[in-house]
Amino acid sequence: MLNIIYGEIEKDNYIFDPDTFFNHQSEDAWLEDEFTKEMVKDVDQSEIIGPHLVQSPFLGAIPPEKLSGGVKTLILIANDNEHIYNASACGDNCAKWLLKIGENKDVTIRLGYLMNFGKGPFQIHVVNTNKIVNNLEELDDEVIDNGLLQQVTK
Amino acid sequence: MVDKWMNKLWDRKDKILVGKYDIKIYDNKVHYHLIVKRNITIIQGNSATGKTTLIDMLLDYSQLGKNSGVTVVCERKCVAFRFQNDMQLQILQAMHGYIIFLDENNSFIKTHEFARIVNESDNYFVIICRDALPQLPYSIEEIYGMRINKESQKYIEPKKTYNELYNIYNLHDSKEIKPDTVITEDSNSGNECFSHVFECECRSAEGKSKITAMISEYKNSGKDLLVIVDGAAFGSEMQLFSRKAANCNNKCVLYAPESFEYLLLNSGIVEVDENVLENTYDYADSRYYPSWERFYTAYLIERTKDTVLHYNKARINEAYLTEGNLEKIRAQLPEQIEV
Repeated sequence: MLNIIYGEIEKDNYIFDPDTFFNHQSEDAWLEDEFTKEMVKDVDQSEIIGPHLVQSPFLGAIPPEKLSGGVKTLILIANDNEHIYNASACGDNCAKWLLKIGENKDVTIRLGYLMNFGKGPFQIHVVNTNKIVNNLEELDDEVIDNGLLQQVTK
Repeated sequence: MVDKWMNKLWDRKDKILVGKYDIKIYDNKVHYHLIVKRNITIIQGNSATGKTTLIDMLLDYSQLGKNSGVTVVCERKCVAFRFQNDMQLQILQAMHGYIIFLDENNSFIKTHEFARIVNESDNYFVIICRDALPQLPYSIEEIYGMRINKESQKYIEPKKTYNELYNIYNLHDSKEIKPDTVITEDSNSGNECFSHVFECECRSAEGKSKITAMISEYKNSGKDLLVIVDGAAFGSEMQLFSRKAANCNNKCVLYAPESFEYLLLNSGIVEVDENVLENTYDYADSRYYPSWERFYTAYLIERTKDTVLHYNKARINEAYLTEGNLEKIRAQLPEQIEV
């Protein structure tokens, strides 16, 4: 299931900047995986040629480090179970992939905005309130009514 | 005609940054075109639309200038930063007259310290961040997404990708409404005045952060809601509002003039220089007015000082509540709103 912590978190295994983390920690095998290739094709409209080469329709031939922050975060979430990633690096066009990852394994992410997961149905566990919601309306109400995104300042 | 107060503003020797700026950033693969006109511009939106590439290009340009191969065309110096230590805040404080690009990888952009620097700064900030930044008073109108301008791509240089900004929140296509309840962000003079403008119940949320909670009270109530906020500083709440309004199951419409004072200035009740309202970016020095809302309040107070219409934010002067003046205020409402 997809578990989401909304707002600010302080945990030793929390990665605030997945974009940079990916550049230094990604593994070749992750980029050879079919699921990764599908995500990159969908989000970045790019094709993974090999673990060190991506063909982008906008930027030409690029290294994986030049993939979007959103898709890098998805690849990390799909492949690394040790860390909690800041999924605010992902736009709404990554939402369906987060749900798909959550269908295959128990995964926890952090969000600082109201990502649009589509109307549903889906199952998301809101960690802050320990509630499972089944559609977007339930999710929005849970997050907004409990002020989970209004405690962002330090 | 620019009045005395405006002349005073113009003559400030220390006024560094006002105005509207056209920015072009490009290399031989991608081209960005942005226009910034307030001290805070926010860019959000989908992944893979070129936001990080924009910052990367500006980082290269900031370090190497034209030797980077990146071209930046703007009347003002544009720079990008990306680092995580305290030094960054010190550098920002030492900068004057720049357009500074930051992205969400700068963790300090959510801190109160950063907000204090921005609110006292004579720089413009372009911030790429999906998370709301409630400590910063940014406008709904200055929240943008990024997209490829396909027309430019087709006609200028087909091999190049042309990116442009678009407003994420379109406030001009609001639904028709005759509200059963009006909710105002303002608690004092604004709420008091709208209580006279509308026949229906008019409640104050007592602050922008409490509006969504008040809308929740009306969920499934069958009552149509009109929510009136100061658009100039409501940006951080806009996503929560729009999602809450969609879930309300009643009609819930937003009316977001720049501010209540802007509405009064525009109504014709007070004689004002129209140029100031139309081209506020040329007057609202961000060091003194972190948002245009505060500028309009200061302008209204100045324009009505020592007159029967003297404006007080804490309590509405009854001179504004005559039937004639209320009609002038009603005339400012969009035609979709029936009082």
